[in-house]
Amino acid sequence: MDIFETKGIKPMLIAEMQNPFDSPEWIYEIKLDGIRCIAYLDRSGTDLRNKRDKKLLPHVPELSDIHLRTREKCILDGELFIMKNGTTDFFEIQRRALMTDPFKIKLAADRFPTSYVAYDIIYYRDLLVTDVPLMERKKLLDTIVIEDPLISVSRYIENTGTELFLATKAKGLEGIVAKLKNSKYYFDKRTKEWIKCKHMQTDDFVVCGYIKKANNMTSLIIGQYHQGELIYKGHVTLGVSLGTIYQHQPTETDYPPFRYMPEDQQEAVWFKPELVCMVESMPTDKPGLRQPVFKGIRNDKIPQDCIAAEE
Amino acid sequence: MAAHKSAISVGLLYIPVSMQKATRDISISFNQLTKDTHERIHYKKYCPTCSKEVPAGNIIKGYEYEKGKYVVIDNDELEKIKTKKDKTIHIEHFTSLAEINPIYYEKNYYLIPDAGAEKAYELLRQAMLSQKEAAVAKTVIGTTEQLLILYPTKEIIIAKTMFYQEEIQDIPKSSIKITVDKSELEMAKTMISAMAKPFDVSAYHDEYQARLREAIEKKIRGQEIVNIDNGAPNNIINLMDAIKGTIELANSNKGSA
Repeated sequence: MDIFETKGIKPMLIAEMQNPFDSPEWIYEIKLDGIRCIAYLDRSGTDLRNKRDKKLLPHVPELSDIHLRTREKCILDGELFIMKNGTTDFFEIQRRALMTDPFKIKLAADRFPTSYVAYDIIYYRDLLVTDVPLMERKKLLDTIVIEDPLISVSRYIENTGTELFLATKAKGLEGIVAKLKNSKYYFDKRTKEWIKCKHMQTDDFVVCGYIKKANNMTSLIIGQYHQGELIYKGHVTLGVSLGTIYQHQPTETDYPPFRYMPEDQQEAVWFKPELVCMVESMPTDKPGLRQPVFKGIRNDKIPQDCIAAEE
Repeated sequence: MAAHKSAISVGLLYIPVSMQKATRDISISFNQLTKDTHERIHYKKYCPTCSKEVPAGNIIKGYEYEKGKYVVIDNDELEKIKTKKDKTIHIEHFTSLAEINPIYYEKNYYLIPDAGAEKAYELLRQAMLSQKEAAVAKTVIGTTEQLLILYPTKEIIIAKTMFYQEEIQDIPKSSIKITVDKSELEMAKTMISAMAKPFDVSAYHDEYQARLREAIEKKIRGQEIVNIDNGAPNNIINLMDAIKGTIELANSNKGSA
């Protein structure tokens, strides 16, 4: 059967690098902080899938008609995101992807509609175009999509990646993606031909407890798993609201969840390792977090999947 | 949303599947709020004698066998009699759906094959479809031993959870045996034929729920003045073009300088 019918496409992955660069061999795009999304579009309708092939359209019904904005049957690769206050809001799209109540979804869609930005084309009319060089795929994409606020084509610039990186920082955007001009599209592969540079690092941690600090601040104690064992990874204070944490009903316990007890934590209130949170920090080569900021609780991830990076 | 991991077992076939709810509750539910502060009402469990809150660790289970008299049963005792956790769906035999009184049907689940199990799943679905048979099966969900009917559709196998016979109540009155007049019966039959037409489920909606949703939407719109959005432009095309434009302008200035 044809890939358009079987679905299940695993998108090409993007390698990560700390510093942006300038090269005439590459193009540079804005990295939007949303959900990776493969769009299967033809005369009969729109089908949106995440990178694990789960149907996304029930969560974003406002995009049901984007197939009417393409001139040919196609499969597109892009980002599904929500803009709020002039920048992309990852938590808003994440919340939406977890909603099942159609009325709550409708209310959310009215207030904060999602949008789809296509940055690649995988399939055109009736054949795969993954072996066609990137710049030709980009041309195809430009001719096929009729832009409106719900579907658009990712803009790119040539040569000056560093400048785009700085410009995205000024706008509060996540960073940039650099792509080699003649790169092919490889399903489910991380190559050195697609590279992202981000302003902030984000990582997920297990919420393990907290310490009350002076001037009403709360310092959250966070951990990650290393070879199956939960280990202490430090604290995050900025952005933490105890009210938000307790809305997710943590279970208090008498003992820390770590085998090795960090020093100076006598005053801590400990939790069972059940909640996952997202923490943003400045990129650094050293161990530990640099200026960490608590971004919120993730309901879509289990604690055991918060794995410590090798140092 | 949460899928229940399971596997269909029949003869030599073992098909890993997940059970996913086929229905959803779309009725509006309200939260209880404090009138003045609009904070959520919290429940506290307390002892009526000492008026003190009882922590979770001090709460045990009791069965009221007579008014005011309880036997206490602890978790260890419950653990001993729990059904062995067998999440497998064991097919006992096949039967025609017409054999089953619809009164036994409870909830519907989609059975989704795991990666790698699609072929065996398809084999079972197509075989059941062409034989026009449904399967009677047993499984354990939580601590409940659950009776299931699996039946094939064009796309998928659906599992219906079933009531046990003990759960169905007797008809409260014995059925009435009254002889009816033949002409009256003909009249009633004519009325039924006149009103008969194919069933279209999409024609029916809970209109109270629709009015409730409308009222809520109206209220939210009334509150939009205090929207949390700061009014910055949320059009992605404009944003992308603005950034691209700035950089290109800067580059062309450099080029001409």
